[in-house]
Amino acid sequence: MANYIEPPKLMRSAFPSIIELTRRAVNAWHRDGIPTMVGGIGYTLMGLTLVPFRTPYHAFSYAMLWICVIVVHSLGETVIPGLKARFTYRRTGYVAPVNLDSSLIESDFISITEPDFNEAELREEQRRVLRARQARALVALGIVLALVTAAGDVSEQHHNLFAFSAVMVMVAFLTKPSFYRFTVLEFLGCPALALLIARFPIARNRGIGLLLILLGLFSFSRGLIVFIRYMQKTSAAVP
Amino acid sequence: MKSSLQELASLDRLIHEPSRLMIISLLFAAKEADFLYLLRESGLTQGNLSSHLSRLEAAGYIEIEKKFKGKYPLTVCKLTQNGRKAFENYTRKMRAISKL
Repeated sequence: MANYIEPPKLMRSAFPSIIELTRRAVNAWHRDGIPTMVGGIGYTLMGLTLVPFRTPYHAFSYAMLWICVIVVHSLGETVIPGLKARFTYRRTGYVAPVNLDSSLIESDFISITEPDFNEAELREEQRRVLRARQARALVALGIVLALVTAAGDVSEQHHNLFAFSAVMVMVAFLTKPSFYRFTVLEFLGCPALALLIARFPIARNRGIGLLLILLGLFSFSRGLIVFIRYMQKTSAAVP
Repeated sequence: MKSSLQELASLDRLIHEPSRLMIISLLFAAKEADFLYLLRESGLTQGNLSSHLSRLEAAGYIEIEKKFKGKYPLTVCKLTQNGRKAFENYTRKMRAISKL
């Protein structure tokens, strides 16, 4: 037993599939909690843009919110890799995960990851992935339309703003699965929950803003806990 | 059956080696990965990993780029189009052999 050498991870787990390895790469990207923390800061900032405005559905307020979404998203593209370079890469290494959805569309990927697939099954899988994407886009559209309906007395100008928001959300979900990954519950959940608050006779914008701030802080603290645990676990790995 | 058996001889030996197969599988499942990630996931030693990477790079299956993320240097490895095709061919052949 003394001479027993522990086999490498991949060998130990009895030939993990490519899909499994892909999931590991995705998990490696999220295991330090930095994307969650940055997301939380983003939602808090978004909430802060709404709180100061008293008038329900103030156009400027919503414009600020969506400008904030774009800015936070763009910052996320630079801030997250910057923070990861500072804390993560030298501890557990750098990996850029593949976009699993688009990879599944490529027949070669799926034929390798799922050796028993035949052509018919492959086409069915491709259709399933496309349907899932369409459903995702419809959910985004539905929630934005629900917001418009909830507003009731919104002017044409506000409708245009909502339409712009809907298009932006859909484009984001269809083209950015990494963005989708950490925002589907929080980002879509926020306006949906905010609808409930908006129905009460209180300043609607403030309700939405406060909810975004609360969820942002929750997301940030969750990410922070993951980050602290990650730092403790990997402190020995720092060269 | 005979033709499938002959496939055994045409297997890409460069990929067939277990450590290199591990490396290529890891890179196939990611856009790119650095040396440390491959080291941790594969469980190989630094020297071993380095020599396998050099062989794969010499064969044109992977690209190795030394770059900076922030202030930190990274040795980033990426599967080339040739490498991707070679891995796909390898898995197809192995699948054919397994149906013997």
